[in-house]
Amino acid sequence: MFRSTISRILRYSGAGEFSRRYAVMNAFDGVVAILGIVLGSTLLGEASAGNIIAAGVGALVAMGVSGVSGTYMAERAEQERKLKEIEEAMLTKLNGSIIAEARKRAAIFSAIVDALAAILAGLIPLSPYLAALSGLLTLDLAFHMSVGVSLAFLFTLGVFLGKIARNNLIISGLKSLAIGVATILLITLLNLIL
Amino acid sequence: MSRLVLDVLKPHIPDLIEFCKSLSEVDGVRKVSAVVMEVDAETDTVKITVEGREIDFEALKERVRGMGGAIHSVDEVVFE
Repeated sequence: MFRSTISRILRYSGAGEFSRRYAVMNAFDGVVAILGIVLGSTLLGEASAGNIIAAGVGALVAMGVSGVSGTYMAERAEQERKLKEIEEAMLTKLNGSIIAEARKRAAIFSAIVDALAAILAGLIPLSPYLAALSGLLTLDLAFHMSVGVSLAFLFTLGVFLGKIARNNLIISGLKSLAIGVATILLITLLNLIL
Repeated sequence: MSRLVLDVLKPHIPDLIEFCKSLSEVDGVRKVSAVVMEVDAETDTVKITVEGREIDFEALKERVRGMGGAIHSVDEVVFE
């Protein structure tokens, strides 16, 4: 029932494609932002696991709030515009129809997907530090694991994008991996300069 | 009322299959068939034939509206 409602919302509003785009884009944001915090606080400073988690959680909450509100407003505007276009073509108001309802709910759905993607993806590089905080890992090991899982996740996202585009999966994965590597290089470079 | 032919303007989505399936669930309706007359940028003009026994026209009209469509004219009516 819940699944069929969501599938109807996505079908009637065309939001499926947008939601997927938002999800990937924000998963990127989430991982790279937290990777930046991890790298910056480890290479440029001497942060403890607790500090990194605090900064990471703060960033994730902010990304969640900005994701929900930003996407909702942007997607709502897009959906309203499209609905008005259809209404103009139909020479009638569509209030109360399933199309109007689906388009209204699509904005909410996209906003939730957006925020969840950023938060869940951001938790990936943060998770080794949660283990470090409870004494399961050393800080050094947590750092290396965090960078490792982030890069692995970026590669997976690239593979997913490659699958959407029906491109070579490995090349697509490597391109996405390059973003993570570029982040690491830039922050390492900063570390050398400062 | 056992047969109705309607001239309906509808958006592309929901598609004709879903649109007609929904109409077939209205009280008194046993059979729905549709032919696309015209396809525009945002809309389709379709001729929908509804058959059944004691078709509830008000409910049918409401269902068309609910699916985002508009009945432009009733082109044929049969009472039995």
